[in-house]
Amino acid sequence: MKKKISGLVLGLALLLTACGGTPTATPSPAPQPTNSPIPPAVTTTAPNRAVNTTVAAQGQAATVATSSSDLLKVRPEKEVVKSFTDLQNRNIKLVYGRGNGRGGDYGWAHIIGKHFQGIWYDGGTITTFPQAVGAKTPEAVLDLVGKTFQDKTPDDAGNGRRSYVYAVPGTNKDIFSVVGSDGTIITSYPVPHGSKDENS
Amino acid sequence: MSSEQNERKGLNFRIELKLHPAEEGMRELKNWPANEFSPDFAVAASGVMRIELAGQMIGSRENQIMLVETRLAQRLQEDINFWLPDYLGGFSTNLGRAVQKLKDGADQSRAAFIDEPMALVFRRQAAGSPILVGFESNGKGLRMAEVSETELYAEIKRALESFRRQLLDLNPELARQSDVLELNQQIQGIS
Repeated sequence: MKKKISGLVLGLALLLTACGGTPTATPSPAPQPTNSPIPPAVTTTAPNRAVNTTVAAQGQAATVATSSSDLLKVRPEKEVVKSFTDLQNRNIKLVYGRGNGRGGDYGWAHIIGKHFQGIWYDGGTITTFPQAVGAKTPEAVLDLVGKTFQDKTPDDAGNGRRSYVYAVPGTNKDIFSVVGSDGTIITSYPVPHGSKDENS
Repeated sequence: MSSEQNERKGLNFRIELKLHPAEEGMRELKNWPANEFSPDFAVAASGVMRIELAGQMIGSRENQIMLVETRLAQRLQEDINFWLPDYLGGFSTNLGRAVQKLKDGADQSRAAFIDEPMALVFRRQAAGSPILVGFESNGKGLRMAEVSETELYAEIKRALESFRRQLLDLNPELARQSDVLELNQQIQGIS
């Protein structure tokens, strides 16, 4: 009975939200359909293309990963998937990190798990590369992550933590990357264009 | 209900920060400084936050942000998640910076989430008028409330103090950690 009442209240609440029941509230459109994990098979069907190798210029990749299947494989936490140098000549490394679909994840495992495959169990929203900017392969995601380090004016939020933005051509989206105090990439994901650039 | 809870009941804006680290993060927080963070304090100090604006709670269900009247929220907590996850160790200092900026006279500031395109935004209206506090998701404003400057600062100070206390309860040594030091300075600056 309690469950039934809860269901009725939920239905009413959803209806109110959908109808804009409160004048100051606008329901957020769902950018992604679900937070259910996408079966790995979906992502492993991506073409097994090789990625370009070693580029040492500033703002570019310094070392390189290999292929879709390599990019989806589980690695030791500290294994470097790819390293970069930003335009300020600082070293940035993308390690495999952790990716269990929970808070406390970071690195490539987190980017691929949450922001590519949509695997996330902790609630909130899930912004993914395929939905937001059409990046449908791990290589495409890795390429976009790397491009953020061409940012001429990364935001230094304090304690050595920095964020970088790359405007994706032909879209109204930016890719936003956050780098930890030791130069390790924590996360990277698409955001509305300009939303992380505000000087505030 | 405590007197503090009663006092806060009528507030137009409430925020709770709850430290909820992963197993690894918990271990790192407890063992600092003997063990460094991997890779960063913000990751170790992950957690969740709950936000209420003008009588409505920000919740999420099936990847959709929704607003629910506070009086209904408790009955719906099995179906709607009112605790939004983020790297709280980073969000909390973003929040402290946003308040400091307002206190320094800026017309607006924002405290961005670290891992999703969401933010709390603060806009000053005319001098002496309440501050507009808004919640944005994917660049769109979803909810806004007018909050007096005094109440806004008090609420954020309370939330940041609570978060700092949760960290120090795990490990008092964290008081010397650079992010926690910054957080403490921000809390002192809000007074």
